[in-house]
Amino acid sequence: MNSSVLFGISSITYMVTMAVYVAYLIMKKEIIGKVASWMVIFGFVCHTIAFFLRWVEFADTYKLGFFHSIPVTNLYESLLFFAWCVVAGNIWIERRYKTKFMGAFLTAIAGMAVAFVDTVGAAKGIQPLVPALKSNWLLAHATMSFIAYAAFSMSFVAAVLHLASLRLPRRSGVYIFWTVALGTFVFVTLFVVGDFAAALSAKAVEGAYKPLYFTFKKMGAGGFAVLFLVYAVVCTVFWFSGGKLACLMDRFSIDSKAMEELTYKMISVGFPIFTVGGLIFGAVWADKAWGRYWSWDPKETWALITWLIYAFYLHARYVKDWTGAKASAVAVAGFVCTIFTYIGVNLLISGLHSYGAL
Amino acid sequence: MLKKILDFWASVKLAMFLFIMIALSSSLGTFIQQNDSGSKAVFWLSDKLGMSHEQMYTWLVKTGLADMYSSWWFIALLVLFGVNLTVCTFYRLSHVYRQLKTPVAINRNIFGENSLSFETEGDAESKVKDFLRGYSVVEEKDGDTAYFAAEKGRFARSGVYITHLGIMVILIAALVGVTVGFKGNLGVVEGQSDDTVIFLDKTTKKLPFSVRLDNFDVKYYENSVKPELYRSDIAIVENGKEISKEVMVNSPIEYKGYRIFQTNHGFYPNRDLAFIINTGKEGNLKKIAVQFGQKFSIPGTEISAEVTDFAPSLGQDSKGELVNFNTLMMNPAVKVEAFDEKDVSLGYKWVFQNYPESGQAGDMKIEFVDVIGAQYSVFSVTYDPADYLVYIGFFILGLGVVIAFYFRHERIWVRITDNGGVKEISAAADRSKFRSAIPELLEKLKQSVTKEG
Ligand code: HEM
Repeated sequence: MNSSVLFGISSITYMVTMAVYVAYLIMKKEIIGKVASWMVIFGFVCHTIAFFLRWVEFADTYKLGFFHSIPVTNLYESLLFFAWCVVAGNIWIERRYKTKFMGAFLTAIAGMAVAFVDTVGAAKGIQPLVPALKSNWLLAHATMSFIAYAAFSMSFVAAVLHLASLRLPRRSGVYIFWTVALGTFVFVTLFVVGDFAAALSAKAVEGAYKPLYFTFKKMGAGGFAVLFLVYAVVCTVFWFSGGKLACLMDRFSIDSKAMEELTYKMISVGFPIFTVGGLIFGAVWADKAWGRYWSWDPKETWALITWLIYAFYLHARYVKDWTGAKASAVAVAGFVCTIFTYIGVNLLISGLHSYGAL
Repeated sequence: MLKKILDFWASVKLAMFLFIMIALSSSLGTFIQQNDSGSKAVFWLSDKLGMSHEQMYTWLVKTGLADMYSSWWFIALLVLFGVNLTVCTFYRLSHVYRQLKTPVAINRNIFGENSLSFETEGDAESKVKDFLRGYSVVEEKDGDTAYFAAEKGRFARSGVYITHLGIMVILIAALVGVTVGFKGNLGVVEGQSDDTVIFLDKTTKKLPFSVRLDNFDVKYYENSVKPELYRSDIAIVENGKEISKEVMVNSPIEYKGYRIFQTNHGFYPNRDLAFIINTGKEGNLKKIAVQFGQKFSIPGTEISAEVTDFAPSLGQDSKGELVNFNTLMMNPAVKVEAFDEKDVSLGYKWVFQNYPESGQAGDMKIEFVDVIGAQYSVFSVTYDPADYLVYIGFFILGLGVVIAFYFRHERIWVRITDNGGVKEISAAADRSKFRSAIPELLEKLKQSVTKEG
């Protein structure tokens, strides 16, 4: 069987599972939750097999040696790998915390990553590597970065749930911050998918599709105004109904403290991987390939900023014993930086790492 | 007074403030393109602030924003950060040293509200010892009561300090690198040599040696415009001595502390190209070098020929017409015109480097071997005497975070009182992180001790 078929099956499974998890949240029937858990495991197994199949296909096609062929070399593969890590995390959390509550959110993230990938379908084929990418350091760097991103995205979900459970008043700054951050996240994802659909229907997708460029190029001042209006509406909806999340959590007796701790735990898992894989291996690769371990390239700089925000979180939490809303707000900010490092920099600013933009 | 100053410099509050300041200021530099007076940011800002473009850029230069990462205030932030980290770490060093040196001890007073108590029959002591395998254990007997103290992972307490040490080393190495080292570009056209490195700000520096580019090659993936490999054959020339080397992407060369990297390449169209050609009767070819417009005779015949055109990337368009697609050396070809002994043109033929049979005409053959002088290669030349120190720092930092996060110091205290066959057991525990998992740990101990058999 071909790896793309299996990837397809697992992608669809994730999206359907998300719906099943949501049904579980609404109806609170144990059996629905069980079905969701099994479906996630099914999707995960397919995904794992597909991953290794593609690895072997890649090694066969380009005769690169096994470790050179780990499939995380373009946006398509790296997002799939990211989704894989998130789903693995979801399975672990279900076992460790004995709750299926997070499933809906984590499969939503995995599903969004996969949907994003599916819409950016132009680059699905196995592609040869450009010379600068043929390096073990770079592959270790990319692989570990995505594992760290996955851990950070789980910390984001946990932090949002923790913040929701605190039932802050709508006027509180932290409440506004997290609802707007969540709204922004959802808006950007939808916008990218929408942009791609528009580009696709206009047959503007050939070879290199740059996310958002299609819509941005055509947009006049009026278009921007409408876009901004939609963005404002999405954020307002999240701001208005953020409190509902707390009621939902109550129904499933999700403990606020457990979410706070999960935030810390996920950052603790991600931070060392990000330090070693994201920053150190990245620097070693840059030194080997470009002759400078650090050149303040925008992508590097944003990785450093992300790292500093999480270092801030860790010191606040571990040394200063911040455990309340403030700490989780920092965790949310850390994830906003993570997203910006990964996608925003490619869209708005470009640098050495432009391979990530396809 | 001194204590106050030290306390300030050791404070984690200052560290958190500096984290944010460094994060915020370095983000500025990603939005304002560095060292670029023509960047969009400059136009945008000058527009919004109602300044002229020149005024705006001068202002950016003055504030250091145009070259932020080497501006005095940004470096000052980093230095403050380094001082903060150093003072903080040494401040706590004796405390950590004591923690690392002190093994766990029996503690008779630790069993209180946070401990777990239960009863069991049977050989509780050996079951407790079983559970504590993998820990280092001390025990003590006092009449009917036995005390245990166990621990593992004491070294994990060093993780934070190793992490901090790694960052100190990196900061110091970076400081040395910035002050003594450099990185610049060196562009050389095939067949020529150069020894002058050019920096971003257009200043130059002469190297103690010169680099001659003998040959540059790009290999492409089959049927693709994606390059698979770039290679420059260079010679390093110093005091009349030559060393030949091969530079590829990801595979730089090192010479006396200088490193030379392949970073870019290009096509330099000029009239001085030299074409290396094999020509003559089939089976008896001779290699010659010719230039544009220079007639050469084909050995063993009366015929002469001349290269009249060159295309680095010749192909056919959809109508079957020959076109040159780009300046990449994808499919180089020369157009050769042939003349008889009276100088009358016999027509022309495109001869492809990749298809030797394209130069066949009867028993006569022209093979296009290579073109020299058409391509240039850009190298970056770096010099950083503290490079190895950075790597030491990376190693220490990596080790530090792994220890700090993936190991933890865990201690367990157990008291077993023999109450006429029934054993009363109390257990308490502590760990350096994730204390909320302590009840779970104690529960596990209880399960394993009360288990039958
Ligand atoms: C980017 C730089 C830094 C990094 C990566 C870093 C990293 C860490 C890490 C990983 C921990 C352990 C946290 C945990 O286990 O959750 C820690 C703890 C700590 N850090 Fe930093 N740190 C940095 C800078 C600083 C600075 C500048 C100070 C100066 C005040 C500082 C003071 C501390 C203190 C006091 C602790 C607690 C130590 C203990 O409990 O024994 N850190 N740091």
